[in-house]
Amino acid sequence: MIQAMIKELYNRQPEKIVETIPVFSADTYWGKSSEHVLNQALDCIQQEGWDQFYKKFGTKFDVTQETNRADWRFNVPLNKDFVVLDTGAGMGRISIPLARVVKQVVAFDSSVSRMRYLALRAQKEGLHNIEVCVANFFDLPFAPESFDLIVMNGVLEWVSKTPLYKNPRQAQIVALEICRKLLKPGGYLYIGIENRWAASYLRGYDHSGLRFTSYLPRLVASWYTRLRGKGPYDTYTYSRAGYIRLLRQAGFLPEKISFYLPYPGYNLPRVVFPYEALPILKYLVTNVLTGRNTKRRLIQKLVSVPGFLRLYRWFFFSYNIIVRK
Amino acid sequence: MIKSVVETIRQQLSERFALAGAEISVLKLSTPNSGKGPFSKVIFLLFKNSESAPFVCVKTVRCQADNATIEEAYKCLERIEPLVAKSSFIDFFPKPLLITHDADGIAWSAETACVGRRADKHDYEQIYRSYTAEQLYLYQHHQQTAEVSELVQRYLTDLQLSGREYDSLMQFYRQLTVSGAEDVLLIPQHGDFTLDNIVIAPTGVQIYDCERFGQTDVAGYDIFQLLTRWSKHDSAITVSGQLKHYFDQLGLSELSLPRLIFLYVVIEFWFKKQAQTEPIAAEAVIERYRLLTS
Repeated sequence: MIQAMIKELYNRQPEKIVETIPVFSADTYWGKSSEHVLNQALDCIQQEGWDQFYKKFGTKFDVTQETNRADWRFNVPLNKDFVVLDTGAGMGRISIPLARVVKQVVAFDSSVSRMRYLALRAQKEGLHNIEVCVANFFDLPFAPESFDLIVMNGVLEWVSKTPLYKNPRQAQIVALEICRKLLKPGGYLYIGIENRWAASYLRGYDHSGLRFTSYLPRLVASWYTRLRGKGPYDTYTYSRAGYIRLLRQAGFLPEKISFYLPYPGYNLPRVVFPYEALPILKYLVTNVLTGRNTKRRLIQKLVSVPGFLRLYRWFFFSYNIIVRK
Repeated sequence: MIKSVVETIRQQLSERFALAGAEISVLKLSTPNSGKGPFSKVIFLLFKNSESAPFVCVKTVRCQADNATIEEAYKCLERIEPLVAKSSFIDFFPKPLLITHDADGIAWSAETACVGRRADKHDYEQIYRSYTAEQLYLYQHHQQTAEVSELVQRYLTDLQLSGREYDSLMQFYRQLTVSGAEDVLLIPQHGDFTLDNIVIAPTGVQIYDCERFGQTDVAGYDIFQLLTRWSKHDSAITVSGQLKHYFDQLGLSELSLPRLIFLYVVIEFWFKKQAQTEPIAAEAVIERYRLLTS
């Protein structure tokens, strides 16, 4: 049965199969807790059940039961015939809600343990249309034009961690080219990613684990991260114009790229609206996000200042980018 | 989905909202709790051209299994419309526009958008005044009363308590002071009358999220709900004091408030029970009552 599924979905045989999961590349773990802890958690699920898992390990991983993590999808005309590729699927925050509304979700990640978790979670949810595999983004085992939608949620900034390309930007372009090749004509690519100029980076940490690196020129950022013992700066994020340039270089047409602003961020898109819709941003600030804290009150006062909304938008935390092939 | 929703709105509501040639942008919204449990709604607010306020509010769900949420909520709006159609409260609630399904069978409905700023604690007087007037209007047109003890028994039965828990609550109820009339007015209640569901529009107070409308018609429940949160902000506002004033306005001055407040607490748990599978404990009901009346 597994062999039949492999033949149907993949364009080559896996290196091995672990608990029905085809493994096409080296097993590389990443995550909030160690792989050892995750494996203990997986044993707990299999031997003691989900309630015990949530009790003992619930806070140790980025697991969620929420179905709102994929709410960006309302801007994609999904239907029940869609075949979706969820890249860097992790623990299934996107795969699970999508699987409820499409024909099939193929989820891949570089970690066997994380994919074992996702397979168990899909089983628990009664979702039989999620296929998981372990693969490397730059050597994917799928035939061209296989997918109606490809999801890169918090992935594009990390693909440059590959040893295959010295230039992070080049790695990102190649990753996007791969997606373009795998999309069916008219298919959609979704990218959830931070804005390089996000105001929150003035307070918090960039992907490098250090402050301000996204604001610095790349070369300077790289000197700085090396100096601080973090290796080269390679998790590039961009402004809206920067993402458009990147996508153009990967062969996508600029007129088929749509930007949306999610709030509080692309990982939890409770509010989503088109980038161009400044009246909506004004409505949000004055009618919806009306907290009484100093920051909110200041923003509400500044809203009528000409040019303020454009400036506010410039510093928004992240983007939902939807690109049509 | 947004694309197909906009197309349908264009086709079916073009004349009403002058949509010919208009550019429509959509704001997707959901509450922090939406998606954490079943039956969670997702909202799309539709904006026309560069207008600063939405003209239509669309409600939908994330999967077909939750369709009933939308269908029930829409039925509530249909129930409200004739009740206030000939009154000055016509803009008090959203008006139902259409209900349909997308190509994959997911239900969505459209209603007029409630446009205004979100109400806050400073708006209490205005909300209280407007709401009492609306209740008075409804009462004048649909005069009905019921016995408090009968209602308590009915709601407690619905809570599916064990015999012992039921008896202990009835016993507690009987011990409460009888200080006035044993009857209460029946007026359809909003059922979720909290600040989160109220906006202050240029035309006055507007109330949305009406999916619980009419599920209870025990007069004063809405005000009770609003007050139990309000009294945290303003110690001068007491639940019993304000309820007395509310019933005075409706012409019912001799009330047995302790028993009535107990009924409201039971209704509160009755609503909770609809969203949870865990059994309700009699002790929790009594504790809540004591907290509110201490």
